[in-house]
Amino acid sequence: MNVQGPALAWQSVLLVRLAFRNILRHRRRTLLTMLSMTGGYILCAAAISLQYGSYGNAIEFFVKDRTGHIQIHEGNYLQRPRIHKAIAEPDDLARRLINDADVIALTTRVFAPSLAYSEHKNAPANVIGVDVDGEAATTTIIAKVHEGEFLTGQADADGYFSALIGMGLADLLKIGGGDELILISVGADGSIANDIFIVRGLVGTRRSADRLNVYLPLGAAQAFLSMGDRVHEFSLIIRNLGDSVAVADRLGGLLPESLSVDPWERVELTFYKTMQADREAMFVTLGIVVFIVCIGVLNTVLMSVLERTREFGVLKAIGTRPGRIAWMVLTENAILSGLSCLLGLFLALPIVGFMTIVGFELAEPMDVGGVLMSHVRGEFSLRIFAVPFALVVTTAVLVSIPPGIRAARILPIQALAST
Amino acid sequence: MLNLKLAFRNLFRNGRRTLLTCLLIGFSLSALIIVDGIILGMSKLLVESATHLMSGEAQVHRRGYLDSFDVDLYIADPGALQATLERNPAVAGYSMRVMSGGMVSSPYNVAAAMILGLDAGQEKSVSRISESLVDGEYLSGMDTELIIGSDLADLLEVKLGDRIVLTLSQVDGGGISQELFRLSGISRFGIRELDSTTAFINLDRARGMMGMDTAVHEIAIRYAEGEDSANRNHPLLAELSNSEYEALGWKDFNASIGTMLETIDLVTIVVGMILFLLASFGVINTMFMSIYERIYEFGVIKAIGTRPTDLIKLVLCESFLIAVGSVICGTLLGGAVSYYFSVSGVILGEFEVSGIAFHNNIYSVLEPAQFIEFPIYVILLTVIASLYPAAFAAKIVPSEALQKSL
Repeated sequence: MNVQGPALAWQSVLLVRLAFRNILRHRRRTLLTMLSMTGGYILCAAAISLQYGSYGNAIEFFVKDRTGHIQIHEGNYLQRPRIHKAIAEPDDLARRLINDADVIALTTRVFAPSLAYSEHKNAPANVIGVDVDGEAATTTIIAKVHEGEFLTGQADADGYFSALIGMGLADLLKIGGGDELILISVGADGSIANDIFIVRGLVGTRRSADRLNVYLPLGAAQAFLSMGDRVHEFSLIIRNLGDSVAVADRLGGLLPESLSVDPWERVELTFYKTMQADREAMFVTLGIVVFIVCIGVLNTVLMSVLERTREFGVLKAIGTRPGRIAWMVLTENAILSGLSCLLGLFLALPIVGFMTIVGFELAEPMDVGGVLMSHVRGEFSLRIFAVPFALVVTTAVLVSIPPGIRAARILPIQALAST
Repeated sequence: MLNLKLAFRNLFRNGRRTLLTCLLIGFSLSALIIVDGIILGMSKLLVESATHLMSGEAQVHRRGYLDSFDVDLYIADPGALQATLERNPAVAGYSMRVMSGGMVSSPYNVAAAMILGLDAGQEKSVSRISESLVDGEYLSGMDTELIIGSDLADLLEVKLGDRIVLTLSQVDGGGISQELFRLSGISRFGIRELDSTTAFINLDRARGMMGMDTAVHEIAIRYAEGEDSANRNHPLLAELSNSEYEALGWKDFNASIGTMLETIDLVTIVVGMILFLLASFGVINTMFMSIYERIYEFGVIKAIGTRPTDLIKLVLCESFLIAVGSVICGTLLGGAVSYYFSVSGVILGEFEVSGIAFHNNIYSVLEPAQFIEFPIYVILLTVIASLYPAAFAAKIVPSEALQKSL
């Protein structure tokens, strides 16, 4: 017999209605089973939200703070920085990059370790020469300047260039805005580099990663380090942060062999690996939680199947196919787990919302793979709620397969004979 | 006794259900034991990295030194502190250090680094520099000796015997001094800061370069008893502190690891509690199912005069037996896995927190609490969870129960 479309639809509706009724036959049991699945769902959603949110925030922070989305260096500068490993003719490269469809903004930098002196004190400092306009366009540096002002590319009336210094350095050298700063380093040609700069502002805080940095206008830093017009680093902002690896690989193919193009995942490799390891650990933990929840579900389904042995026997005796009985058990569980997740969703929304908007402040910032995290926040997005949904419903349906098969295999004659 | 016997029999009437319930509780306990073991192992590694590798369990500085690492904030006369440390039986060892930020230059490259002057002998009782050497020799007091971290050695592209110039700040006046060293050792701690930005030289040489006589910047202390290190208010710390000097336990001078350990503990407790909340839903559910099945039976028992409290006792006995059975299995399974992890370690992937790199196996730590307290909690929780079904059973009205068919 060929089952017509409407008949099939009717059968499905019947199946769902039957399943619904069966669920409601034992309300207390249903509720308790649902509670454990709901609890599992909420725990998963909260954990995934915190995981993605915290790391997402940290990534967003350091991407804006210093790394950008993609960096370009000469050779292995990223792993082994040396002053002479610099990119030649940066203007040509900049023109090529900015015409690329994926690249939104870029900036160039030079780096050098150096000693900083004030009148009575000295301290080691990281000198960073930045393209004044590019840096402002690609990073949050302007927002970090809280005493004084941002750099200008021009020298003052006496011919001195301006510098921004980190708070740690300002403390050590006991200097502030308007004071003289003397820097000593080694130039690209091996000569001793030294020059005087005027502190124009202070950046960051006493604990931030930039506390021992000195920011100089790019031209002044290049002259100080005898680097000509060469730079150590290109930092790019691209259209979509999520494409960083693909775009970096594509650009790597287009640009000269000697340049290495790295997405933030490779620039902050330790952080990235830590994040991956932490994520794996979280999914293993959630797997255990879901597994334990599912033993409970299996128990319930099995009980409800055993309880209804006679009933299934009757169903089979009047000609119901084994497949449909198995389907019904699966449908019951799918509905049960689906409803639990809906309830969980309802309860998890405010929890995840709170974690996303307020979050938890850590008493001390935590150093994760070289990135300071001071705030734990949630993420509020579809995947936070969809992943646990899929996880709970799938496992709940999977564990109901054996009881379903058991129900399907019931022999009417034995079932009806049993009490 | 009768209750116990009856309960025992009841459990075997539906063996599969009992087994699944036992699995539920047992696995929860196993999971808790295993996870706790791994987390303790991680915490232990963190604490050891934070204390025994380099910092010591307590440190004395001039007040304000830790905020700025200003070379001028030194302990001018450490003699009195030294006498206190020698006298105190709680102290296993101490080490005096001078420190300065400076530049390390090789013929190929230059890098900023923290340069530490150490007393080779004292240091052995506090830190593990001598055991962290991957190449070369430990300090012996010779003037040109220098040990640098492996990452710094990579950056400077140097090998043993190469010439390295150190430039560091002098105290009181802001001068700098520059002297030549020969690389005599390369260390690897697995701590980013120590491996990539630290250089070690002999204490006297460092003092000479910095223009210090007997002064020091830091005294690192190792306690005789490991437990003392967790005590932020150890009497020794108060004895060493005054208006000028400040003695701190490691949880205070390395606050980020201290906070992180506390956070980890908190998260473990929260996750453990949720796990058992979920498991107890399962227990309540199972007990209810077994009571529903036996409503007729309970009706009969009540009809012949059994008191409600006896029924409660019966149900609680059943859950107690289930709990004991599960706990035995769970403890055995959890203990076995945890023991395996404690011997051969568990790989959690590569990660780095608070500058401490974990790329090797983490070895689980087995503690009596996992095998005594956890199981007791689980039994208690299971019995408490079944109070609700037990109360339900006690309230069964015989006349209604007996009307129900099977």
